[in-house]
Amino acid sequence: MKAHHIIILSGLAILPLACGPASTESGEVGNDSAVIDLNKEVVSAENVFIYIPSPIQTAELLKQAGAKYSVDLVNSPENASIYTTTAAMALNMGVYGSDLAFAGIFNQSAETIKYMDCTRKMADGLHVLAAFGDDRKLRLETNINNRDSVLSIITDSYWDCDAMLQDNEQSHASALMIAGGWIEGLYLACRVAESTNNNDIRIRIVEQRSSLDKLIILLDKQEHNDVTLISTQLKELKLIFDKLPKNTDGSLIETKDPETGISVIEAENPTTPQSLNALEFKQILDKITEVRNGIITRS
Amino acid sequence: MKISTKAIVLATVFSLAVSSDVVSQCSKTWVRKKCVPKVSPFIHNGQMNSTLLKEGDKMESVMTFYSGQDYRILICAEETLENVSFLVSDMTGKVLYDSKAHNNTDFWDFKVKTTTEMRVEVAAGKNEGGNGSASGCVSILVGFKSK
Repeated sequence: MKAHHIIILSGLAILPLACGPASTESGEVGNDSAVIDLNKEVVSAENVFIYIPSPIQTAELLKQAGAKYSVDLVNSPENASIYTTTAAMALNMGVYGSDLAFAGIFNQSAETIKYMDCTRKMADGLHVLAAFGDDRKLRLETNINNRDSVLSIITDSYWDCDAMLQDNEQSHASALMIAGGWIEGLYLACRVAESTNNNDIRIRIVEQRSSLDKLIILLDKQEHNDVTLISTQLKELKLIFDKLPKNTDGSLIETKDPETGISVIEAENPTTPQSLNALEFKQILDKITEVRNGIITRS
Repeated sequence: MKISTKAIVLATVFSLAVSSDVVSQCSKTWVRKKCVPKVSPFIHNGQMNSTLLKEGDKMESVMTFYSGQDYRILICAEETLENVSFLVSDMTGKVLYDSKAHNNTDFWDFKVKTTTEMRVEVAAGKNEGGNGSASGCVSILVGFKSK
């Protein structure tokens, strides 16, 4: 996944939770934790990876926050026929991929099949239909009542498309697909929060700020007009997120769950999770709606 | 038949070029067959951050983990690399998990109470008795639990 390899040291200037300044002193080993030696060798740029949450993960977060599925929120399958350019198809493959994940997480069998067809149509237009394959669609239909299988198939299809686009030297289309998926995920979260006034979802929306930063880094690696347009719009969205206070210093502790023994990770100095007031929420909702509607109406 | 020195040099260069092409790619098929099943019972998030490492090399990724979720970080490495370890640290540099302190396990399961970023760093150490030239595909996979 060459397009996702970046120079993390330059990216750290943008990430809100960047490491502190480099130290010339060696790390110390404490009783319960160890500090990484900051004199360690820098990792080669080609071995540093950007991690962006998949549409499945975003949909799962919404579901756990109490969201309900609504067919009124997702991009109409009828729009698939209007997308003819590479950029429109790549962006909307991401959008439909998110809609597919949304349907899959909420066990909407008929919608899942429908949105698999939409993403396949986009993949066909981008010459990466092999990433889906007829057997994958058959497997989906055969296992439609097995949620874990459905989610696995959706996830594999999404990232196989991404990999195939890069292998076909269409890394800009790959970046657009990931952007479209992320934008649709945030749009769905905002629309659900709007209709339910659910504070947990608003908290999840705020938490997308770090993945927005990473997405912009990914997009800025591409020198392509279609990508630049989306990147510019997302930077306008970032300006809204940047005004929100940051209430964590990034310091974590590890404890053990007394019942299971599993590690539990939490903030060393916990604070109330950051949410959004009415104005902040409206600004984000309006901006993401503008970006998203621009994607689903472009040909 | 007399083989010219030039032909031998060309053949050597060609074979090195071919073999370097073969080893420089981390096969998605290998990752899917050998690594993804180990994520179960967690759901693989789909990203296969994979690269070819040589002894002494490192790879890393900074990831966001969401509150209320259960995760598995799995490090999958080809057997040509015998001494692969990984660290997970917070953004201040504090180590939260070191596989070397846990019998060199290749995965770590954990719950997250506070949405946060963590750095996963993988190191390919020296093979015991090796000459330092071994290399292999290494992949960082993440799984989460769907509730």
